[in-house]
Amino acid sequence: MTAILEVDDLTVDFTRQGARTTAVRGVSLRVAAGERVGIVGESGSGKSVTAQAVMRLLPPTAAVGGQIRFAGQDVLGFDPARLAAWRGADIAMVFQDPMSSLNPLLRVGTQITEGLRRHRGLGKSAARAEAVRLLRLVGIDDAERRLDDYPHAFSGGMRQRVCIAIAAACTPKLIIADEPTTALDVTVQAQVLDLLDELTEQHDTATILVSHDLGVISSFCDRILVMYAGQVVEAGPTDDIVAAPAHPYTRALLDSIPRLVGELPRRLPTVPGSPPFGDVPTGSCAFADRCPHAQDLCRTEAPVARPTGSRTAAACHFPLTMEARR
Amino acid sequence: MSVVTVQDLTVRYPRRGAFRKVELTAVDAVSFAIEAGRTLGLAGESGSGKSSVARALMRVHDPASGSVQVAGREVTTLRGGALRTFRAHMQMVFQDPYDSLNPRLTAGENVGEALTAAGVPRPDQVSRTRELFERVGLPAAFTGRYPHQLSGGQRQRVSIARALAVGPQVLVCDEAVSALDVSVRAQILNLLKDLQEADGLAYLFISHDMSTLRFIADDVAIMYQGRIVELGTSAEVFARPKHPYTRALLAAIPEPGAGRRHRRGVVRGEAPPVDAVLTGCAFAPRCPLATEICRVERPALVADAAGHRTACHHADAVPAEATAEGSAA
Repeated sequence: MTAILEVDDLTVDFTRQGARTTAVRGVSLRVAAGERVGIVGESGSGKSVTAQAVMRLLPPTAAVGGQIRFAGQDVLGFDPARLAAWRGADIAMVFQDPMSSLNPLLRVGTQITEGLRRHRGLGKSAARAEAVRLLRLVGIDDAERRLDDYPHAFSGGMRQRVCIAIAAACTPKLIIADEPTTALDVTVQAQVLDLLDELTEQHDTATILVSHDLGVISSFCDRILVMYAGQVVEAGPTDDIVAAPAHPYTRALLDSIPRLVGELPRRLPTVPGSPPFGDVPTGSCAFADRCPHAQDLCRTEAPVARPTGSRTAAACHFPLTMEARR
Repeated sequence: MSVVTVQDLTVRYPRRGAFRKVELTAVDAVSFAIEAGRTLGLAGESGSGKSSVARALMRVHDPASGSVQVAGREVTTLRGGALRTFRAHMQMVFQDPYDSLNPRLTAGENVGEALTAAGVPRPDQVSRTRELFERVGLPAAFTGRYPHQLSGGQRQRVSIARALAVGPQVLVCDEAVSALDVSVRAQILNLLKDLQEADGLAYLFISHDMSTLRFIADDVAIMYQGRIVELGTSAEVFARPKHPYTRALLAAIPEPGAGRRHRRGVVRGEAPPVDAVLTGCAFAPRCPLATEICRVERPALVADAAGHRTACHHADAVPAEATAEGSAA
């Protein structure tokens, strides 16, 4: 299987008023054609910054290190012209808030046809016909007429469908969706996830889904990466990780979600404290302060990712034993 | 004995920008009761009217009609001093503690303001504030910190301390944990449970998150378009949801380990705009079971033998096996 996206040892540092903050500390990931990869983490874990670094959307205050290769090409070396030709055609992004990612002053039709005309070289009427097809594809009724509407005339779920139509317009090889359903009601979230599923299945598009919601991630992705304080702490196939997490942080994340079926504990199992923001000390495990299993080694040496199963890896000195994972 | 009794509560907002005076009904004849030491969860999607219920209860926005009784007193007609006194019985915790705390006051001063309002003399305030901080699990040293120096979870603890300062019997939590990270959310939910067990507080817990409600609430009311469509004990509603909307809501929730790529979307479309004129059942346009009667006649909230209430013409047609179990298998 050929990898569409290969990220190696990605680091992102922000410099603000002379102070340096590290947002991403050595993230590596691979996405194969047609694969659905999830990045899950809490606020400040670096999941969105990772996604934005891949799209080259970070501001000039960000120093990006490491390597990003898309279909073998060095993304960090792209010049502005190459970036403009690449974005929209080969890679596309769907953001959390569809109202702020659509231009409120342009008709929806204009925004869908923009990429079609630019990247696929379609003429005006051909682009419009294709836009109608796309709107129908994402489940918007009366597509012909709705093309002339402005974003404000659409509901939240409909706007996100428009954004997905725009992202899918040129059948990119990779779609990065950053919290695409977080602003939506749960019944609408379900429809949008179904839609993303259909699109990726039809065109063999690879998807990176970024979310804080382990439920959303595990219902959609083949493989997940759990991020904490700018690092991937656990990675592997969704089913393996959800069924038997090896990293105490992943375990804690799973435990702290009340379930809809079965017995409920009187109290939810918790980890103390809150996720770190900004500076994380190097030379120790970032989770050590909150970890119920932390030992001296965790505070003096940063763990590296090691295999915890045939297909899974975790960055932990003392990964949970098979019995403790169940 | 119910601490809060709400009867036919209706909330209307004037619509801005219209030439004629148009009102939209955000809450339509809602009734429920909460007993001391119990939690009523109010669930629903955006625009369902759940926050409007809270605002009407707190008298932030005066209800158009209906009655709200707290500790046996009618509160919809209170004015001036009596209204201030009433607020000592019922307090609110909001979604975003950063917006609801005064950023120019320290955490301790934020709580102190509530103590002043409750008539606690100034010399006693420092020790009372410390006690409150201890109850919500914050070190006493945090009284001197400003909201921006605290994490989201710590700020929400300060909000809870402030709400408890006046010694309320009822706490209204409007999406109180929704903005928090999952690992922090669990801590705050545990704290709320502990406080309830210690003081016998009654909670009205508003959330769009069904799994949170299953954990915290003894009873749940499901709202759709300003009306309660289902009301019962959590155990009943989650195990045997009767209203097609409740079933859709539960089926749509992605749970870790529930398996990938089952069809999630059970119902099509979205809730109609809040100003839509509805005849009959509000859910009918999206409902897979809707028939002619649903479009013309509004279903009443009817209780079954177990006290589980549903507003649906076809509540009995809904298969008995629960959706939640079905989708998790």
